Amino acid sequence: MFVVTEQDLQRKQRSLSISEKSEVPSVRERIVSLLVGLGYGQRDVFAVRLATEEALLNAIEHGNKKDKGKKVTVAYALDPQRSEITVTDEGEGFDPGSIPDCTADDNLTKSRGRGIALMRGFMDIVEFGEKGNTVRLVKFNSARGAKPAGREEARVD
Amino acid sequence: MDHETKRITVDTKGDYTVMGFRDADILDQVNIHEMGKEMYAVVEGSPGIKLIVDFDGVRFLSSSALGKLISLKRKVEETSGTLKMCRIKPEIMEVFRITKLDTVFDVYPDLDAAMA
Repeated sequence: MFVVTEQDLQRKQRSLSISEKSEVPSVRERIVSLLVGLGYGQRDVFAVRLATEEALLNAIEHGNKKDKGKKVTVAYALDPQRSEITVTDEGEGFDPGSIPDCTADDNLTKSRGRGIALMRGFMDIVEFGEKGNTVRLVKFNSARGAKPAGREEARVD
Repeated sequence: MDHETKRITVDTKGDYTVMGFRDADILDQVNIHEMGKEMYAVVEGSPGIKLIVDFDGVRFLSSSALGKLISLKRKVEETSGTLKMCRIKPEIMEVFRITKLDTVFDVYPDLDAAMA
């Protein structure tokens, strides 16, 4: 059960859905412009921009298998301390643990398979839902010295 | 001889071919596809090329762009050419570090160092 706090109410919360790769830039840049307005620094904005791009493309390409009849839902809650983006596709899901380590010697020069590693490298929290068709991305505003208050274990379903 | 394409610039400096980017953000899928085609065309027409990819002005790139750079390196090396990179911004260097591609590519701080 979610409890709505005052901070939640102050956040810029939105949810929207897309179906095609061509719609990715407008969603990504909308989130980026909100973060800039909220005072996030260049490195944090870079991180969210990259992670959002990778999550959206994964959802459309691998989740929905480019089926334009299926939607990718993007929910975001942004405030000056913390930005959270949740991406859900209508695919069958996957086991994140089954994705090969792109930094292993055998995979290092493969042309694909780096999106999840980049999400994990740049974001403070990256969690996949049980089914594997939802990813939750969280970045704390380092310009404000915002830090995770302990490890968040919220499950995405 | 210099010539420009839609996504990249190509310049000759001594023995080196210097490839630059016309976009600050190497991000959107269509642009990355075009960029790859243009890069490969330069390399495929120049066996043994001594190529420097200059990231001056580039502020962002995604994992799709990394795939093109890896394929580019493979094509260069197939004809015993060399590929170096230079002027990569710290945030983009972090992309290379996280994926360990900093161990795959030869990265130099500036063009002079890459050409030395």
